[in-house]
Amino acid sequence: MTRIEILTELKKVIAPYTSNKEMLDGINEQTDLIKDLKINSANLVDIIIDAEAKYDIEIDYDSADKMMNVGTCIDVINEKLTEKE
Amino acid sequence: MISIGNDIISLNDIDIIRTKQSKFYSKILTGAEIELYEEQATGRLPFEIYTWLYWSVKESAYKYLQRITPLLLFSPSKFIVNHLQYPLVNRIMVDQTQLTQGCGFKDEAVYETIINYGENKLYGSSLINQDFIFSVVHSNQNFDKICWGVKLIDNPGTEHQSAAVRKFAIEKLRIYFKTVNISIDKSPYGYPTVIKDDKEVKIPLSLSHHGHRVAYSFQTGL
Repeated sequence: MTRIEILTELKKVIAPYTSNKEMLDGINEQTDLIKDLKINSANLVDIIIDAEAKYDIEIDYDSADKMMNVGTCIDVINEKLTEKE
Repeated sequence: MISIGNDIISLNDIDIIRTKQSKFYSKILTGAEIELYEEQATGRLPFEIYTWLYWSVKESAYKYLQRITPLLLFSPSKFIVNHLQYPLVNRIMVDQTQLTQGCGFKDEAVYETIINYGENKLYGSSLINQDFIFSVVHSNQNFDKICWGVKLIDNPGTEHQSAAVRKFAIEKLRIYFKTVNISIDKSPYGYPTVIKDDKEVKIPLSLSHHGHRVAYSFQTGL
């Protein structure tokens, strides 16, 4: 998958947890999940689990720690998809 | 550096079924913390409450340390809760008020915790009722100088939560400082700072919100 394809799917994973739909429509790799999308930290685990299910991957502790903005989320998903191949 | 951290979990906004799934709780609790539940907490706290209690304590500890180390990442598995002391009356009560606040926790049924992050040892005090879990963490076992509050709000929209928690904390800070000229700013790293008469004061403040609940804590006597 390309980074753009991952980003498109990632938007669907994130959508239930943000009320900032305007910002979601315009997200880029620098968009911060908490500061920009106003996602409550209590939902970060939900996003990681939904991403695991969406891409059929397992995201370990150290990788999950990095998933603070859209770019790092794509990095982690990309890395796990590559490992799976 | 003196710091503080708090967190609020609105129990009406958690997914109980998901919380009980190992893929979920294993991202919050360490193996030892899961064992501790099986050994000591079964029958005393529902597992989903135990999990979210630990989340709130770890998130509070992260907020405490992030003020000192601004680039710190929140990694729940690296914040280890080594001790959980139950209150004498361990019953989860109905929250009958829309507002709970105080300084210290002497009159409250408190769940006390000790949290380690690397070399750092921190102490937590948490309140649990049927509607929320509220935790405060700082570096001392004595919470007498910690003022805190939890409030029910009408609108759980993010912008409203943010405005409501600031207004709530400012009301209390104005009483504490005996002046109306108090405001709350945000540091470049995201933590709140207290402004009095246009100058930042060294009072550590922590804010949190989840669902219909907002909460603050700050340290007095500095």
